[in-house]
Amino acid sequence: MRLKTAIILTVALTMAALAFAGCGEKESGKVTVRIGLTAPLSGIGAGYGQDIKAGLDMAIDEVNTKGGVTIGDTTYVFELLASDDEMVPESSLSNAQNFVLEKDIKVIWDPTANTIQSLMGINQTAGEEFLIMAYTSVPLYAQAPNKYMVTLPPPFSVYVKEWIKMAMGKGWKKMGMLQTTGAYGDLWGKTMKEAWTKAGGTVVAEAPASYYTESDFTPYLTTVLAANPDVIFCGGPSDPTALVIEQARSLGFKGGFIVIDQAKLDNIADKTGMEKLEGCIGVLPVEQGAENWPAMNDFAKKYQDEYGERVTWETAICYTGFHILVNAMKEAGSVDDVAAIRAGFAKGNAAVTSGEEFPVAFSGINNDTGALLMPGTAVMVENGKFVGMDMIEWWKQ
Amino acid sequence: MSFFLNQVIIGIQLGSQYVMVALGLTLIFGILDISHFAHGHLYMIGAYLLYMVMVLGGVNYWLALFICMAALALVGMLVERAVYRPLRGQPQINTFIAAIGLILMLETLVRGIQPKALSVPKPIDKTLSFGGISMEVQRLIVIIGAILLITALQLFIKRTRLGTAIEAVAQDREGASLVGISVNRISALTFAVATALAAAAAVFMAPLAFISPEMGGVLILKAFVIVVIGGLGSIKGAIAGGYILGLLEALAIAYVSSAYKDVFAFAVLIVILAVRPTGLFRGRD
Amino acid sequence: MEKKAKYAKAAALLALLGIAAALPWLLGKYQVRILTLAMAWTIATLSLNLILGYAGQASLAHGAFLGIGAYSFGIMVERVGLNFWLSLPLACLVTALLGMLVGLPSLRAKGPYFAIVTLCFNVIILKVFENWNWLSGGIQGQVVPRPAFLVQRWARYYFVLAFLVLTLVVMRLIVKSMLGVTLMSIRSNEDLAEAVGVNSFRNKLLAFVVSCFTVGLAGVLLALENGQLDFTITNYLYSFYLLIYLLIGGVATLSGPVVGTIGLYLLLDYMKNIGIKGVEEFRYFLFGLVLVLVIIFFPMGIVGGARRIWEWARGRLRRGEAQEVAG
Repeated sequence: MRLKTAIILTVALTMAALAFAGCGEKESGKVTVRIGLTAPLSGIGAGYGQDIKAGLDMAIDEVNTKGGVTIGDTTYVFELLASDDEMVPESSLSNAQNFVLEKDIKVIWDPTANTIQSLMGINQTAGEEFLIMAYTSVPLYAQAPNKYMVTLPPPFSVYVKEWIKMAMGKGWKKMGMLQTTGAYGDLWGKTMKEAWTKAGGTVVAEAPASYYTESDFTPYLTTVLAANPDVIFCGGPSDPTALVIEQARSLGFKGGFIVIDQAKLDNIADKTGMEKLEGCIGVLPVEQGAENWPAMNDFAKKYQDEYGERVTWETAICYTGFHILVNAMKEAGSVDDVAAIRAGFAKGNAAVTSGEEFPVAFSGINNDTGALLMPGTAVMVENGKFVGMDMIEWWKQ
Repeated sequence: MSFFLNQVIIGIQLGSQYVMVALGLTLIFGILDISHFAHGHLYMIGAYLLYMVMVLGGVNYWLALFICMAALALVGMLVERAVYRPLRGQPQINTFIAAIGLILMLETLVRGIQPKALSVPKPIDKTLSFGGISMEVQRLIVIIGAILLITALQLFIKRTRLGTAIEAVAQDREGASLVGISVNRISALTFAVATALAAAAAVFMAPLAFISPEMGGVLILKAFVIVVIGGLGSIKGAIAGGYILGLLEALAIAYVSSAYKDVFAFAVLIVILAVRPTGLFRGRD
Repeated sequence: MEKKAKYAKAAALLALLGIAAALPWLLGKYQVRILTLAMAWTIATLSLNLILGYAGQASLAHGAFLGIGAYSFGIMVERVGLNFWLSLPLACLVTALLGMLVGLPSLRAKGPYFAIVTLCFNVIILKVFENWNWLSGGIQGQVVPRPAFLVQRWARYYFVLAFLVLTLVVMRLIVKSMLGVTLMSIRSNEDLAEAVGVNSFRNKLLAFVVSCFTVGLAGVLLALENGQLDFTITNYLYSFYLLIYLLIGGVATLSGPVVGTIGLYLLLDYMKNIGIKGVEEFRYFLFGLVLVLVIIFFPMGIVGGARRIWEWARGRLRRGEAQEVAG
């Protein structure tokens, strides 16, 4: 008897949960368009995934509070469905399948280089097409042979030349390498090593470490420092990168660092202080970008108010990227025709934003590769300040 | 030469951390026949507790050490009582599954509350330099702290009545219960001691590294390797194994390959067990 | 009475198979995909069941072998250009061969020692796949092309279902054979088995190799469903997951792995996509809690627990009948 009650109760609760999950709010006369996000929302990449999500949440909130977007004679509002993939390609594939087959989603954001490929494998299937909004700096994706993909940040190869120029300008010739392991770090390492030796430098030590599982880099650093490098190439997520720099300094290293684009110099400075970053070369910290793009100031402030921490490029770029997507949808005259939306990016300056209006300025899209054109900016810390902030318009090179 | 010495010192420091974690594991295994896979996650909880007590609570580092050890001893007893004791008498593999369940719970909980990595300031933020070797004071604290704790544990086991009872149970459980030693009490005590040791390791290491929900995962695998190499249940074996592994890793990074550093420990274990299927030192069958 | 029960059981199994065959026409595409994956995982759990459930050796390397099977298949089809029907058995054979190489030294170790050796092997394989980009395909992974007849989702469903049925039949044959009996004797007392003349090492090795062959097959089927592979397929977490599926389902039964794997796989997927805040975030917490509770209260797993309840209910029923007759 008690068992029966329990079963009935369980079934009833499950049904209620199902019904609850199933019903989406519908504002009168407005149609909701769902956008998918598959990202690391828990685990070692959680901070990164949450930054991406924050940018999309803010943009969607803004569009919806303004009453949505009218395309043709329908007004649309947006809803973000975010699913955790823990940076595992198989999970992002599952998420994407769920989005497309169950939730009728046509646009999916994916911010990790190693999971994008799994989406590229399925997004051109007839009847199940979807657009990938890829947040990755891995250069091969910026030349991606995928019909329905758009990449947002500049490819990392943009920085390499500029960084080497800065480092060699300091007279540094000997480089020690301590970047993160794994496919992404390897790709970076290979690119950097090639360019560095080509420019006349030498690589004196290599000790890549897993930034995701290692919590003490001293044995790696002593190995690298034993070869007396002028500069250490390092980087992975910001927190462990800060630790690498801190530990290198406390081991008495006086030279410079070249920090890969995944690590954020401002976040590192928060942990180590500017003093230890002297001679550090990397990507422009986001708030410094406000010098060129005034809207960044307001955006950074708004973000600080809402989330209580410093804004990142991920957030700012995805926020702007979402507005570009909406523009593309307007140009396409459709929110669900994937081919038309992809074509919409190239129409009527849909992918052009100014720094007056948006925190990040884009100069359009390369219609053949799907790469959005955002300039990259290399910086160096000298005398406690970020210097050398020239925008690199890499697509013109 | 100074480079080599440097790596050796770092190896000893790495080993100190391994020994402190492996000791608890081997005690628990010897006494209760449990593969306490969640031990590394209790170590992680210790580090988060340090953050709460020291950074949020503003308590002095050394006082925080004792608070963390005491609190984690309680947590250890709780885990023993709630999870492992009901499983006594069940096959090994069942306790292993329960431990994995515990791991999932602890990691998800911490991650859900604080997904980002944290760091704790060093109590003495200085670097010593002598003869081409430079070392942070905190590393000395790890090394010396480990030696003190290991000695204290040895004294406790050899010189106190409770300690000898632990050893008695480790050697012969049924015999011990025949002479009137309460296995329940001993098992709770063992968990308390083991978890307090893990907490101490976490407190010593936290200022050097950063705190994340995953920090216990790789550590526990290595601690298991140490315990197996040393012979399950052998205290001496765990101490020797821990220092050997630390040295091995520090030298492997320097002279072999840093990307494959984590592989060495596991490869060595496979080789050792292929040659001696019950470990290097006296092991329980 | 016995015969009647047998017929009833056969009828029930046939009905179950009928339902499984009808599902692709009743469910949406996504559910079909999830069920296909769940069935492939079930084959993997069944393989672990052979070596752990029947032979009593807790292998924690099955995640590695799963990945090895999947990758061998992907590499053969995509890079070497081998024929599909040749690659499928070859990939399983490669896995079995590697299993033999691992089993030869490691099966001499017993109990927890064997578990830890196999776990170490799994960690090494994961690290190798993570760092050796040529092997794993690096950031882009390994594409797994599908043959024309497996392009449709429902076709893949039936393909995997057929292999699941095949695996179940083979496992049943093994369990009922002399090998099965020998394995179980080793499980309950290895020394005793040796004493009565059983070569326990050879039998364990045979079981391990067959188990690896089967988990390799599961890897191939997973690769086919996903069309894409990356180094995480060799993760030792999968070894843990298989262990969980098996123990929660019920060891040393054939229905246990099926119930445990499909049930837990669907449950986790459901919790993930339910769209209620908190459930997705803390799903592994709930999962862990369920694990601990089930292991404490149903140490024989769901199937073992259900059997106990069934027997208890039948006992009561009989007693009731007896009382009625007496009354």
